[in-house]
Amino acid sequence: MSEPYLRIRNLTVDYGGTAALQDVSLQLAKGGRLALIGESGSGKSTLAMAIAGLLPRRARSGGTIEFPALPRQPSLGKDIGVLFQDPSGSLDPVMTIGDQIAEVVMTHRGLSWISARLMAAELLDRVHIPKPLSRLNSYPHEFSGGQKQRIALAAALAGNPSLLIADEPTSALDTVVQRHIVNLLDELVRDNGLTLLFVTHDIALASERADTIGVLYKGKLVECGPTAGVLGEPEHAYTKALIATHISLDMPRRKRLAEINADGLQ
Amino acid sequence: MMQRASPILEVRNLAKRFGDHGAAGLRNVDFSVSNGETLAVVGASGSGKTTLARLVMRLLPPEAGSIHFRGQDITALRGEGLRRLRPHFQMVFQDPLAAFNPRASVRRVLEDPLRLHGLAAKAEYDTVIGATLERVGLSADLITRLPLELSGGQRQRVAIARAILTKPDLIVLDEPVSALDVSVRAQILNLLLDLQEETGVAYLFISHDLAVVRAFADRMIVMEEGRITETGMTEQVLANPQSNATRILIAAVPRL
Amino acid sequence: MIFWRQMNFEGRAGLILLAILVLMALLAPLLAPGDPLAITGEPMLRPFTSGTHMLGTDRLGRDVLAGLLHGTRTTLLVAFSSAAVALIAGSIVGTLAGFLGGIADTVLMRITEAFQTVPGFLLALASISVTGPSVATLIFAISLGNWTQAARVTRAEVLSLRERDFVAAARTLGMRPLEIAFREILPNAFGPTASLAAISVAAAILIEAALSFLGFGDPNRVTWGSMIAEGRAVLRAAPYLSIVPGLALVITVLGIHLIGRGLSRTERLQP
Repeated sequence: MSEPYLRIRNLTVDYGGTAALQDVSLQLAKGGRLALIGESGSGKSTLAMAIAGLLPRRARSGGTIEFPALPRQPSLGKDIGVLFQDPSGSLDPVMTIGDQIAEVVMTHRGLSWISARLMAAELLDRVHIPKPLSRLNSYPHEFSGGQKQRIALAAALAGNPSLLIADEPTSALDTVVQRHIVNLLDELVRDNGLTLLFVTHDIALASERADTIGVLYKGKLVECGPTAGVLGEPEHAYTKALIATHISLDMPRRKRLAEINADGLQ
Repeated sequence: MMQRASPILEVRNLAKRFGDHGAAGLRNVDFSVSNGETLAVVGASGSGKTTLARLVMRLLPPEAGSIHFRGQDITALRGEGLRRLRPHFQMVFQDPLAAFNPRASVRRVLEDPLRLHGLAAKAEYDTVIGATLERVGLSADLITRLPLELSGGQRQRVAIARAILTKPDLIVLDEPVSALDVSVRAQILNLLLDLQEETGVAYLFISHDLAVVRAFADRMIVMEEGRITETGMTEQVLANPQSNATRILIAAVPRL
Repeated sequence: MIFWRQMNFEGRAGLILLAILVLMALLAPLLAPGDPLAITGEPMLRPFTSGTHMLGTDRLGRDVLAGLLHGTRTTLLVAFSSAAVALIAGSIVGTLAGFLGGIADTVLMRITEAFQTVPGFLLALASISVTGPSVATLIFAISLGNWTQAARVTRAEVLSLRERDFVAAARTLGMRPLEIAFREILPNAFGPTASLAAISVAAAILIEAALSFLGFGDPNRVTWGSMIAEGRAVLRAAPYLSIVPGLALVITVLGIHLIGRGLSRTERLQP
């Protein structure tokens, strides 16, 4: 196999005393889709942010994060795009969406203002915002939650990154809108050769959308491998429990739902 | 299934319009909830399901139609009359943090229903609150905490405690688990199922997640653009969807 | 002290100034015992020429330092009380307007606007000339022109809080509207209103000084304004009589403004 796109060795992150990540090692191939699963506090977001270089200043980290496929250290925005859970948090409410996206385009692609605006319209078209040219002068509040997330995605893609990191990109959206957004992400990976890393707590979503799944539990990467393997023959008790919590639409209804018993896991 | 008598909640031809364009409004909404059953209201965002919850809770005035609770018309009920009835229908909100006064401790949050309706003597507040906290799976020691200091699951348990303190016949659950982790989600839903078994409370369960509805609700109604497009037993609707809105919702559920 | 640590340089400088002023006010009876209005020495002594009268004496032979120290008490008392009255009254009006909405909102906000169109100083002057000068009437008169901003800020905050889920939850519990307004909403709306405190206090200090200067102050108390007025007659011969209390006034208002700036910075830093 050729050089991976991303290689992490023995990554450890702690926030002043409490270890958020312990000894995490993983590889991601170019054009691959990696899903990081875990519950709040498992370290899945910390891992994503460490790769993006967005850890808070008080965090101390050890180990290495390398991008063998890139000729230089990756820069945020240009090589790595980031999509967050709450689109309202990443969009400036008092700036038109055209200006916000064009600004990123100008910074990272060195285009003139007019070409950057045209590029912004093109990006909006790529994330399926209808009539993108006429919406350039709209403000974020004029859009629905799902559309805002698309616009945030367009801004994340504005620097033409080779890696997109999406931190729970659909957790604040309903299932129908979620389906549209993840379809869009799939399309971008397929058509543009984007490498995708997404964080989710939904194992079913991960199983549908990822080639590789990494399961994080209490700061450790307890399982990482091809999707079919992780789901078919889960090794760690937490992964098994997570799979058991999934509710299928065709299963007969039971009196109680499967819970994850924290005491039974290590 | 047997036909259960005496609906606890009966909604007839309910309508509500917002602004000029009528977005997220309701038209001709008709349904009823029987004693002790769980009715799910399912729809995508903007289908009007949250508006419906707020109308039933009498947080918004309807434009047309009627709401009967335990046979009594509460559509136009106001002031003291409505306040006397309030303890019998309660609500649990989607975002448990937003549903608490940021300055109030768990004690103050849970004292309110007791104090407002004189449900316990002042000296017994702490005992009643402690017992209720334990009933929802929390330690009674949490009584002095602020909601901000609790985890998402703990907050939602406190919200459930607040809702059951008045021993209601109906609880409107507005997406009670969609802001929670998968592992916590199952615990909260199981708690709600247990409470229903114990007390016979009926639930009006607002959700966009069919998987959860599948596990939790007896019957469901599907809403689209303020209208009910489908009604039926949960398993039947999911196995044999009749409307396009239902099919889109079913297709959107991620499968393992 | 967390408060101190969160403050930037400006805020800390302001706090130090205010602390000195408060100390001056508290220690006035010790540092300058007796009635500050009593004649204690020769008239028109220049500052730093006499051991017993550090800052000299005025036309009648009253000690300037004693006046300055005791004046601090009046200034701080009147300024802080009237700012407190203004903020409390303003936030009550703002809460009622924002929470009740409809006609109550319209009426209350029109009244607020009516008060806002008249300069605060004129309102205070008119009120004092009716009620006569005393500390209590001064406080009332100054708050009269000072509560409108608090009312507007609180109303805006209440309008957004009113739509929050915890207010809906209080309603579903059957809480009465007035209790929701004052127990659930007002305490949460008070933060932005409290940041007006610095402006209110500074404005109150200046209005109080101006009123005293015009002779509308409490005649039984020394104030910086009355000291400046007193020195005005001999401004050429003894400018220090006006300069000393004038400087005190400038430093106090400066200190308050610095604290206000420090507070608004820390407010912005909070999540």
